[in-house]
Amino acid sequence: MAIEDVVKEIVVEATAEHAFKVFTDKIGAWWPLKGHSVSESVGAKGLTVEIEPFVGGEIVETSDAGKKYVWGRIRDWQPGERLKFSWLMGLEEAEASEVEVTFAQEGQKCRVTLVHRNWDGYGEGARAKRDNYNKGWDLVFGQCFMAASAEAE
Amino acid sequence: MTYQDSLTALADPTRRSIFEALVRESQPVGALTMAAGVSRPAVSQHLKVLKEAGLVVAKPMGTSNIYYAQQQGLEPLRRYLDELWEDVLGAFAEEIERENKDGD
Repeated sequence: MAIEDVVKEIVVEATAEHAFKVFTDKIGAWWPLKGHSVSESVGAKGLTVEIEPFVGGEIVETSDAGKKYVWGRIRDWQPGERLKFSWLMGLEEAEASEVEVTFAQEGQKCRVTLVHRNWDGYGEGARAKRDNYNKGWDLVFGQCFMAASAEAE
Repeated sequence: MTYQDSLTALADPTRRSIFEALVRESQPVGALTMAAGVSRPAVSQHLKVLKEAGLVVAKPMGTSNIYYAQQQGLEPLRRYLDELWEDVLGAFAEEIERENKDGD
C-alpha cells in the first residue's frame, strides 16, 4: 500500500446517538467549507453539504452557483454506531478510498474515530473501465484541486 | 514538493496511467509509449512532470533509462489528508461544544 491509513480520534460530550446525528444530519452546520470544498476549486463558494441518510446515499456539496459536487457515497449506515463512505476525490467509486467513522459511548462521552483507508486507487488500484479515466479526475477534492489546477498547464 | 504537485501530476489521465504502469513494473520509455498510446515525446514530457513531482525516478540502464515509480512521492498528499481530517473533526467537536453550551 502506497499510503498509510489516516486515523483520527476525538472525544466529545454527547451520546453516541447524538454525535452521529450531528455528524450526519447537521454536517452542513459545521463542515469547514472554507478551505475544504470543491466549489472553491472552480472559483465559486461552497454553500452547504448534505449526507443522504442511507446506504448508497451521496455526500453532496452545493455551491453558491447552484452546482452540486458528489464527495462520496454511503457504504454503511448504522445510526449511533458507524458510518462508512467512499471518498471519491475524483476517482470512480470502485477505486475510491474509504472513510469509516465509528461512534463509541464511553460513560457520558462519545469517542469518535475516523479512519481513511484504501489508497490503492492512487497507484495500483482495481482499475475501472479504461474509458472512465477521462472523467476520473473531474472532481478532485476542493482545495487540493484548486491549487493543482492553478498550477497545471 | 507538495500534495498539489502530486495531484497536478496525477490529474492528467495519461500521466496517471503511466504512473500506475510503473507501479506495476519498472519500464523504459519505449515500452511505456506503446502502452500509453501516445507519442514518445508526449510520454517523455509526462515522465518529466512525474519526476518533478517526485513520483518517478529514472535510472540509466545501458543506453536508455528505466523509470521507477516512487510511491513515497504520495506522502505529501497523505499529509494533506491528515490535516483535512484533523480540521474536520475539530470543527465537528466545536459544533457539539457549541450545542452543549446553548443547552441544545
